[in-house]
Amino acid sequence: MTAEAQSSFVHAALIVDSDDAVIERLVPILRESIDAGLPVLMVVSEGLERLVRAELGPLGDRLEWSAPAAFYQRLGFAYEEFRRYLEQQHALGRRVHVVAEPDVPTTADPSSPVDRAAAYLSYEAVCNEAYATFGCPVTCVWDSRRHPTLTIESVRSLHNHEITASGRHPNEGHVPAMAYLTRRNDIPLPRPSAAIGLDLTVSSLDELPSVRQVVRDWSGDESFTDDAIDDVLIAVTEIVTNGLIHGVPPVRLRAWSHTGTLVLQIDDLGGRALPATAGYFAPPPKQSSGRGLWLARQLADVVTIHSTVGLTSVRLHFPYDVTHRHPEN
Amino acid sequence: VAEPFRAQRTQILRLSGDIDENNWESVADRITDQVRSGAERLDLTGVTHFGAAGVRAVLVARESLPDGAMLELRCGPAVHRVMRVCGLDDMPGLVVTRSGAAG
Repeated sequence: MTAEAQSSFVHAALIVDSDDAVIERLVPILRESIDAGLPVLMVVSEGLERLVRAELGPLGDRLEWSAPAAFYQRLGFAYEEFRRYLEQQHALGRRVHVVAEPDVPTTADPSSPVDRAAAYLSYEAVCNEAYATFGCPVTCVWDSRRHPTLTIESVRSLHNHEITASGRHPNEGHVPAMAYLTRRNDIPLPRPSAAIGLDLTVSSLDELPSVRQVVRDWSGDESFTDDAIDDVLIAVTEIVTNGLIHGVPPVRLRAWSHTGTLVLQIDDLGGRALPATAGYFAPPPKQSSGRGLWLARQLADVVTIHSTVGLTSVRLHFPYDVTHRHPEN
Repeated sequence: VAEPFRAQRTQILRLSGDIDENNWESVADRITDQVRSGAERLDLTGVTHFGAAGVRAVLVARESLPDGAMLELRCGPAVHRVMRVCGLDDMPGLVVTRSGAAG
């Protein structure tokens, strides 16, 4: 991708605190796209759709509407489906203005073993690069009434443009993906939040089949079904393999279940810091290696990483609901 | 895994068992041999584990496809998901199909 493509890609945050703000800021942008003959895909909530349709009247039918649930499933799947959609539009020679209202937790859930909203924002950070070549502007609508202030501050910093009352402006405070993700990886992983269900030491690749059998049995005991368990096993195999080949054995695999989420942590003794954007970009089709972390980020809902002296840790999260929802295929 | 897969010298090559870092090279060799012998379909519905190493085996074997030839990869759900996530469903020379049977 050229620097020019990245710099011309408009990934705009529209942060609203009232219905009036939606009407004052979003509707003019939509009219502008309609007037310019630019197709618009609205991936928004029913509430936002009602608001926009009420304002636009019959013009609202000229927008294409899609429910967020169609896109927002496992975070990696959602991001990749979206990227593929833009890639297809680009291949067809079509520019589309995408307006998305992220369907992520509205408040930090104290019962959740991971901050899913923060993980979502990691994808917001990388899409400035991942979506840049397709020439399709993307506008993300965030309602500050439904999200914590810290989340909204991050949203503002991760978009290269912001739509305010005076229109769309480049964001001078934009934080590049590498800087944001490096900071994320600097955060130590919290202590396991439930009793450890599995604790294995893996010293060689020969042990992979037996590791899979143990994880399969444990996941089944946690009520995961076969298809979902396959995804857990693939992701775990990739990270254990990486630890054995690229890290320093032995690899320790621990797993626990917390409020319906299977959490698996893989540690090796290497302590190497993984590249902050590792696993966020689809490897080129002909590339023969380097797919392990990409697969893990796709198949798990959230992957968190932290390295310290003599220890590299990767934690995989599989919430029951989203892991059993497969976008077939 | 002493013998993780079996092959038939027909136009269809059937693989079964796990494909991982331990055996992907021998799997790649086996697929390559069959592709050179004219195999047009790879039946992976009996494969019980398939991740990045399996993708690598397929990509290596794909290099041996004669010009203009197509290789159909018949997959169970989990293998199909990996193929799709890794973009093999969109790669020249490969046709990825999904079987309803468990993979």
